[in-house]
Amino acid sequence: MPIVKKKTVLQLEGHCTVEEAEDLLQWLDANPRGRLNLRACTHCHTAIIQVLMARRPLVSAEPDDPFLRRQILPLIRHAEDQAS
Amino acid sequence: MNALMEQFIQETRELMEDAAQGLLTLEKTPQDPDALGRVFRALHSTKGASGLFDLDPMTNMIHLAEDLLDRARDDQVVLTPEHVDVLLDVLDQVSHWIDALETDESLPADAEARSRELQERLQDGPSGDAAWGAELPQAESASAQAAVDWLETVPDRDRRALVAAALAENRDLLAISYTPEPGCFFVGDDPILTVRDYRDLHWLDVRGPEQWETDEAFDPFSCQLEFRILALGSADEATAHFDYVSEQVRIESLSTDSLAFAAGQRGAESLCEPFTEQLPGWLADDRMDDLDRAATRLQDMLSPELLESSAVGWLRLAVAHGRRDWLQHFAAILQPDLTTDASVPAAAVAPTTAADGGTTVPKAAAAPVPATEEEPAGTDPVLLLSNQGERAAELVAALQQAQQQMLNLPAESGVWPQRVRSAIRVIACCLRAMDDRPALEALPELEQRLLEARSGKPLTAFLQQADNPARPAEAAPSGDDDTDDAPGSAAAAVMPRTKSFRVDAANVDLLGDLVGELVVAKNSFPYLAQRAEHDFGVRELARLLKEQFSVISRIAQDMQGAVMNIQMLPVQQVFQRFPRLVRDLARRLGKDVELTLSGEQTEADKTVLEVLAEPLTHMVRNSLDHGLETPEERAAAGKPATGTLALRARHEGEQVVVELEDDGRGLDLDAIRRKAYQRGLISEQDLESMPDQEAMQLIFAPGFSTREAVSETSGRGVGMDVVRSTVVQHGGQVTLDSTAGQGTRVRLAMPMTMAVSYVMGVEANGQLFGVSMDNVVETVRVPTSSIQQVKQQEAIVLRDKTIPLRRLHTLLRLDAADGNERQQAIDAMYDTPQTAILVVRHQGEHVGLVVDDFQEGLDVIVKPLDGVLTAIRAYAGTALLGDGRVLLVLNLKELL
Repeated sequence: MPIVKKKTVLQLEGHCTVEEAEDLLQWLDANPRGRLNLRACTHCHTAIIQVLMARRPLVSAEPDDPFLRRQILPLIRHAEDQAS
Repeated sequence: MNALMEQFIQETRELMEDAAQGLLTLEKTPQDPDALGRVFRALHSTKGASGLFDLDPMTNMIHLAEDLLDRARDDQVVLTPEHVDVLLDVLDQVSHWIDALETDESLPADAEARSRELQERLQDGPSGDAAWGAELPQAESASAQAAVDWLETVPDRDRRALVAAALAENRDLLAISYTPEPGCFFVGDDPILTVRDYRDLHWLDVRGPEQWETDEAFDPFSCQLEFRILALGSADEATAHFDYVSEQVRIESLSTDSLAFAAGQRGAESLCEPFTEQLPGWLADDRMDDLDRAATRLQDMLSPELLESSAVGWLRLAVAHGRRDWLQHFAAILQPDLTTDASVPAAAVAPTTAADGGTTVPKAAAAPVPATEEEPAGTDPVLLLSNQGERAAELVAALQQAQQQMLNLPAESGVWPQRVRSAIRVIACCLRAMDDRPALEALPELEQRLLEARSGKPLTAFLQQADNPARPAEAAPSGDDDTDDAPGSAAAAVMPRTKSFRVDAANVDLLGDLVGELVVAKNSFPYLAQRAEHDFGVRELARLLKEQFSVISRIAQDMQGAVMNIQMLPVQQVFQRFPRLVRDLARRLGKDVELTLSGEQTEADKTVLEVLAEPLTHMVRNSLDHGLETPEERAAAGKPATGTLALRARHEGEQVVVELEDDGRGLDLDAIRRKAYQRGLISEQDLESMPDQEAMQLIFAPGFSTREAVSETSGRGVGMDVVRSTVVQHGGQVTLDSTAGQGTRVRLAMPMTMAVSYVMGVEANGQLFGVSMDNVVETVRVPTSSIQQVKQQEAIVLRDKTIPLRRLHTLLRLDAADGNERQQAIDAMYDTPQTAILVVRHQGEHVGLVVDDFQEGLDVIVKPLDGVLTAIRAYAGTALLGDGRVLLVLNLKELL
């Protein structure tokens, strides 16, 4: 299960496929202050990234995956934790 | 037939459909690049595949069609409706041949002749039209040569790092713009994965729209991103990597010059002054080491956002790589009075010096201090997605060593803190690149110690410490980087990919049937449990059986859901044929029609869609033929010349609803009444008094048509009758609504799935029958005495409504079942004898069905009656029950 929803944190794990995009979008829209745990995420489908870019959620845990951390994370960061 | 051919046939059909849709788009917007690309790709794939089977007529013909499209893509030809006509004919011919291949495994005998004929038309146009293949003015194709327009968005540091790497490794610089199609997710593309797997990737930026939609308008499945990539590698490799999406990618070679420009805000002239004063002298005397040392110091002082800092950075890079031409240019930026425009690439400003630049400065001379030689490439290794982890480790080691050497040099008191700061910065960069976090955290402490010690010893100790216990930790992340960035390595190979694959629909059907059987078979568990308890007296076993039943029941239900999901297809499957149909018909009938489709993504069971296809086609034809008027007629009626036909699909509860609406002339109710009277469908009295709503229903009567002549499109009088019977037969409804002069709306409602139906069990004369739950309104028991006789008909009054009664056993010609045990048992519970009545819906009315008793609702798979039994219309089908009995499901529409 690549998406694990908790009360205020949504966890993306492993390889997140296009199917998850809608689910994710709904959760983000329903929980505007929700945080995202990307630690165990290995790859996100473009649709997922696009949702994240559009909504820019707060990220509670950075991905371990170097590509995601270096190339993708800066694109999706919320303005508030951009500085950190 | 071999599997390859089978696949070819299947794929080509899909490709032809796709191409046809693209062509229709092209007809409206002739040079739409997406549509052009789509048609081109479809044809290209088909041509390639057809080459495998020696289908020369086909291959040659498609080849020419492809040529035409290619010219259109290069803006040499503007596609006209005539072009589209020929291309559509080509597609039709291919589809026709594919049909022939499927049956005979070879092309028909006239293939060669047909192919040549179409080839001629492709080459010459329909009438030797001069503009057919004419070239357009070259200016139009300027977009193809447009340079990369986003280089300025690349941060200065990243540009420097890239240029340094390109110069150091003598590799080509590439700028790649990748704009995936909005619908790319639906064909299984994952652009980020494609980009990520590109091994030469060095810099990436992903751009979305300026403003994202905030509400429901945002469609997560429509790709709106643009990828900007800078890479070090060969253009051929890049082309090969992005081959699959080549239409969406622009790959351009860059010169290092085009990236070498300073960026930022001016703001530190005074700080730079000492440096700029000496600069001409250094340049004149070729004292590159002095220049570099001073530049390093100056850069330390400047905030990286400043133009000056950027220029100094470029200066150092130019020194390190012996780019004399650049030295001049960036030196000029630092001397404001000489500067013209900072952002102009270096080569443009210093074309004369470029001639003697480069090789004239020996590299060794340019970098006598070890630290500076490596520094430009390693200014910020974090940004360099290096493909070579080993090389990065070497570089880091060299850098760290250089810092040690620098700190061990004798230093004046004022210089020392700066030196320490610079060393710490370099080391911090190294550690970040190697992902060594514990060491990073220890850095501030190290800085403090260095400042106090005024010697390089703490650093030596620090590095040794980092070497010993932390070495494995440091090596591990660097290894990680390596595996991740180099595709084809273990990590990349193991990574799961989203995949879809083709399955023969028959297999899915079979799976669906089997799951259905399983659902039914599991129903035998409660029965078994009952027998275990009552007949064999083993209560424990009964309990276990019941427990197991709930488990199996849950799994079976999940399986059923999964299979149903597989069989769910978007309505698009049906809709996609209409643009072509409407276009062809409209052209033939001389009408202007615009078709709008909405809700194509609405899903419904495959079988439901199969059922819907025929009726919808009928209705679309009807609308075009009868409903929509010619442009002249429309103008006379004060309507826009172009008629609209809208097809809409949506879910409504458990139903999928498809609506077809046109803004044509509407139904001519008087004509319908007259015609119906002529055909003897209604009486003379009805002719005058029949309400409009009822008159509309007449068009559903068998054999009804108001058209005088049978036309090619419709008017044979089978249309709406067939529409309704097909839909109703599969549990759907058709409703019609029309306003004279304004249009007609037809609404088809179908159940979303037909695999498993829920039926109500009723008993009559000791036999069990099923009634589809859709028909059931309620079940009631009323005192037998409350049944009233109205002439020949029995009826009851239920909640102030009179409901006519029918007795099931009379309808089925069974013996009356008075006074059986069951009836007595029921009656014993009440004061007076009771009658069980199943109230059902029948043609909009409620009818009471008198039965002996009710049973529970059942999930069953209704199989239509086979063979000679098909003639018995009283039954909709049979279903197998869990205990092995056969349930006859009543067809109430026939029965009542």
